Amino acid sequence: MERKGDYNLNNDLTEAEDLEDSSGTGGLNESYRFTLSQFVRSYEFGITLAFGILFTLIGVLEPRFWRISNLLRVARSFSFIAATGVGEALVIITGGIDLSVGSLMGFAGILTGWLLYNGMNIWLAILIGLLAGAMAGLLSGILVTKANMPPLIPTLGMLSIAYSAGLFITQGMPITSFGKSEDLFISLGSGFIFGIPNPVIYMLCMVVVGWIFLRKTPLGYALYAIGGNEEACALTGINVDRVKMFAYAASGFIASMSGILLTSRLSVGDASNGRGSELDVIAAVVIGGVSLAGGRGSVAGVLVGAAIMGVIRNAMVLLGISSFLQGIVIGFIIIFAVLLDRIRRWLTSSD
Amino acid sequence: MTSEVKETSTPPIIKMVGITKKFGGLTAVDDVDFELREGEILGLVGDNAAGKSTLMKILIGAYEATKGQIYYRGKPVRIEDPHDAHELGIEIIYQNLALCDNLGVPENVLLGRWPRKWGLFVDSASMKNKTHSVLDRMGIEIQSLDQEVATLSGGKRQTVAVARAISFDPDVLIMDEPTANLSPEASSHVLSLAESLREEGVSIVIITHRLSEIFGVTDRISVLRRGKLVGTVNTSEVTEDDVLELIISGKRRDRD
Repeated sequence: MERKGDYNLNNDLTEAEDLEDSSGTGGLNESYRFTLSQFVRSYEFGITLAFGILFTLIGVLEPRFWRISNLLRVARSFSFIAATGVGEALVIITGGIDLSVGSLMGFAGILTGWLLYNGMNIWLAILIGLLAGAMAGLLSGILVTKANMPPLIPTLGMLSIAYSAGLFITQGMPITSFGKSEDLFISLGSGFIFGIPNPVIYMLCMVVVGWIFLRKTPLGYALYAIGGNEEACALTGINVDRVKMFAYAASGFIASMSGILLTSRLSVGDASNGRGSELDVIAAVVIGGVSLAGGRGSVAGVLVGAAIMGVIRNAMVLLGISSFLQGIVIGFIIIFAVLLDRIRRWLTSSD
Repeated sequence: MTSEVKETSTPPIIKMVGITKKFGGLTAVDDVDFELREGEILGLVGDNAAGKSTLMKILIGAYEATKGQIYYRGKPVRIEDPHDAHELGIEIIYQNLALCDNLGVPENVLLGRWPRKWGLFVDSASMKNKTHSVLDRMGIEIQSLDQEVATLSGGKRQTVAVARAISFDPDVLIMDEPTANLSPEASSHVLSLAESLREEGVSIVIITHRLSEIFGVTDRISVLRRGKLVGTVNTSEVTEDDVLELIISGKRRDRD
């Protein structure tokens, strides 16, 4: 039974990895051919290998880790971060950053929850929550492109605005009742399909959609191209502003979707939902090999990055290590992952 | 206007008349009349800040002239942005090449014009084919199109930039310091590329300060000095020293 669980989770990850084309450094690559040397050199391979070692090591130290129930619980816990990371990756690939995703998760969940509490139709309430997040992202995008602000500023502002707006709606009191559609709403985040928690399925869907979008569509190509050389893109007629605005809007939209699902999963709409998550999201993206300088990285990497953090958190709990140390461990992993990538780049560029 | 065209044996494809460009109090280009003939390679030379790049940036719509008129094949045209120039068939290869280092060769050659399939997706096979056909036309082989252009040599990178310009089928091609960062070998390769494009009927301007390199390939050389056009000479009728004299003093050397 335990072995089967091991196989299942691993399989999810390898599948996502297989979808990834075998490009050497995570840049665009038109060839789908699987060349072993390219794959072995890729950051995604390194990070997956690291995950595999971690996965085995923790299981050896603490066999309870390998229980399916535990693995699914871990996967569910990092699914919100990984899915939000897909949106964050879109922004970071253009060379920007979105600090507002955590607060937007909380805000969208509260807004949808509040509308439900007031008796609105469930799908309409969700739609409004999603659109609110997308509009917030779009506003950040407009400020980045049209007002030429460094991405840190408008998204930091939006972090504060969204958090405060959430507090204002709830008046500091968590929303715990979701009106006539309460059961349906709560089942969205708490339910299972074929034994797999809905948030995990949601996460995998986001990764697949994100991967197809980034690697197969002209807009996805444009995101990488802008991250590579924005000026060149403008000169050849790519509407750089519009592509960037799309990225921020998409990031806000996806953060809201994760936030609404998180509210459903926790059965609580509260401003503390998602608060501070932007750091976990950015960490997952960076550990996953998306370059903060823009132009490089993949959503499969983001998935593995989030998985590594989730597994380490779980392992520390299982092994009885003080949860106060989690931040220290995660911090070192972020630094180590980027350091490793630097070394790898240096090695590949010198041969 | 027709009579004017008949006067010259090869009508100018580009004619810029009375072009002046001021940046605040500074006059970068001062009442310049410039002419590019159909199917020629023209060298545009001069010191730093002589106005070479500024003049060409006006032609491709990156700058707006303070005064002056541009004629394209005899017709007055307004070129307000690079898109207008592009529509007329005027392409430029920038000195910094404007490549996306993180992308492969086909993605760069067809930057922003990636072919699609089913409306939604990039057709990578067609992209590769198109890139191959452009490179074949230039007689160039790049081992692996998949590798990031960051990993290519300076000459190969220049080739990718030229290939992008060529893929638009331009009538006029402006090359801004195409040999600036290249080895002598790669330089001569790029220049012979310009020659073969001329054979196909492309009219070319090469902006450079390396006089000796363009002496072999240009038909005419225009010299700018402190924003003024001080002379245009047929390359076959002058020596390098003559042109150097024009660059330095702005005057033709007295022949004995």
